[in-house]
Amino acid sequence: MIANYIGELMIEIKNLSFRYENKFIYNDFNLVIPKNQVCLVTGINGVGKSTLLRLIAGVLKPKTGEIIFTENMGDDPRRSIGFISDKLSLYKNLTVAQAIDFHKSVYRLDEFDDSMLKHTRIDYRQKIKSLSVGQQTIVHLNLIFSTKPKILLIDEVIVALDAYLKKVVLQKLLQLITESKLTVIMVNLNFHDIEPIVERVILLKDGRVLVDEKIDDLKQKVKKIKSDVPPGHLPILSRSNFNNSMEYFIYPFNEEYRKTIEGEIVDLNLTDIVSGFIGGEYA
Amino acid sequence: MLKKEFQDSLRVLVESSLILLAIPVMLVVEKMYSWGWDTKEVLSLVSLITAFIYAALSGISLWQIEKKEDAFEYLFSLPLSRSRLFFNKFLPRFSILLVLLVIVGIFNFDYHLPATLFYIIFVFLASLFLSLTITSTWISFIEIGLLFYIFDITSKKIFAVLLARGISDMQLSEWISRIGSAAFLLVPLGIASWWTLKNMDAKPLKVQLKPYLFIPLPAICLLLVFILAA
Repeated sequence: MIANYIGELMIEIKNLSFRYENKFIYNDFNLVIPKNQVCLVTGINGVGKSTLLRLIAGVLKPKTGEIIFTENMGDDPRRSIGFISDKLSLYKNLTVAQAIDFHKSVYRLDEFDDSMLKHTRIDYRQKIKSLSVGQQTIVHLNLIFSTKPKILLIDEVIVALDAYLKKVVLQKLLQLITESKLTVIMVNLNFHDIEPIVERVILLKDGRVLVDEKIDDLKQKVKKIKSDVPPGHLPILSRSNFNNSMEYFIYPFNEEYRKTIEGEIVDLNLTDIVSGFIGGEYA
Repeated sequence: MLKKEFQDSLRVLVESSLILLAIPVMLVVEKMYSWGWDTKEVLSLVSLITAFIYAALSGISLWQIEKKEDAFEYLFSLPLSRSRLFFNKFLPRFSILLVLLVIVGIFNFDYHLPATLFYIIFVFLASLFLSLTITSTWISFIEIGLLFYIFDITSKKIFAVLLARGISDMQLSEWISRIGSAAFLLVPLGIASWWTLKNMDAKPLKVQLKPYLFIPLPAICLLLVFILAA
């Protein structure tokens, strides 16, 4: 299902196919990403979340189809895209100072805003490989932020940060979203960390978009019912047995259902909503 | 980026120059046993070996850091075209090689010098074009050695064919056979190398090396047939 957008679009993915060896990850895949929104891409392990980010970043090449950036991104779209993957791919034998120097020369930057690094105890003479995963993440994020990207692609790295650095990064993200009209696409396993900033949820299944909704709409549309009597007349997304009590995830939920339901109706947070969908996949 | 690549190339030069440590040893041995080596001969030999080792190592190391540090994903996310990437890596390595060639020329100024320089450049280009496929430095040295061997035999066979056809200019025949043999090997390798680089992405490298199977391998097989038939 592809949502209709009234606002400006940033990325349009059309008829995209990508396969790894002989297995198709995406076949005739379509998606639109609106401008200046924080989107969370989710789905079961191996569904192609990280692959999608890599395709948008240009580090993987699609077999067919196209990724269109609706805003003018200059001669090379990668100049306006910041991408950080869970692999934390960098030249790890360089010192932090050398990595900054390298990044500045590639992006032709006169100045480098290292404000995020100042929150850490990183010595610029340290080699990147000697830093902790969290410190490497901060260095990489700072490198990316310094280029003032229009699109930011973050793949499961926020998890590696301690509570303080997580707060610093999320504050910086919010600042960039407000000031620079940044579009963010995230893949994250810990939804609790990022729920305050996520605006849209894109759930992938079998190389297709299963859900593409604003998080507020999704919270209205997905509910959990605790009941011993199966609500057979409702669209059950998935079910689980919790402490000998049955729980049913309903999607799409309609307010009219309240009149007919026996049991407790529970509002859900993002973690519960996604586990409702993913639980359905594993069931 | 050029600065980083110059630093990497200089590191390779230092590694290749370890052979220079042999100079004082050879001079001491000469003083003790009087084997008839003079300083110029020692310098000539050492500069030649350094240039050959640098030519091979600098070519092999073209993508070594990206492979070792798993940095291809980062590299491909940067706004650099593949041709710019290649030339940013090629230029520093080739500039240092040129300096080495001048040094080799100073210490080996004789009739064989042009051929010697040609061989060094052949080794550099062969290792450069093989760099994406290389998994171990020692194996790559063997691969380059084998290529050089095939080049040498092919060159001699072409020379023999030219003589048999009655071409009397020996120097011209030598150069035609050298260039012909080098082109037969380097052109397919270069095409495979460029094709791979152009279409490469962050997938594992081993699944992206098919051009090497389809272009240089048949060319080398053809050369072997020619060597056996000629």
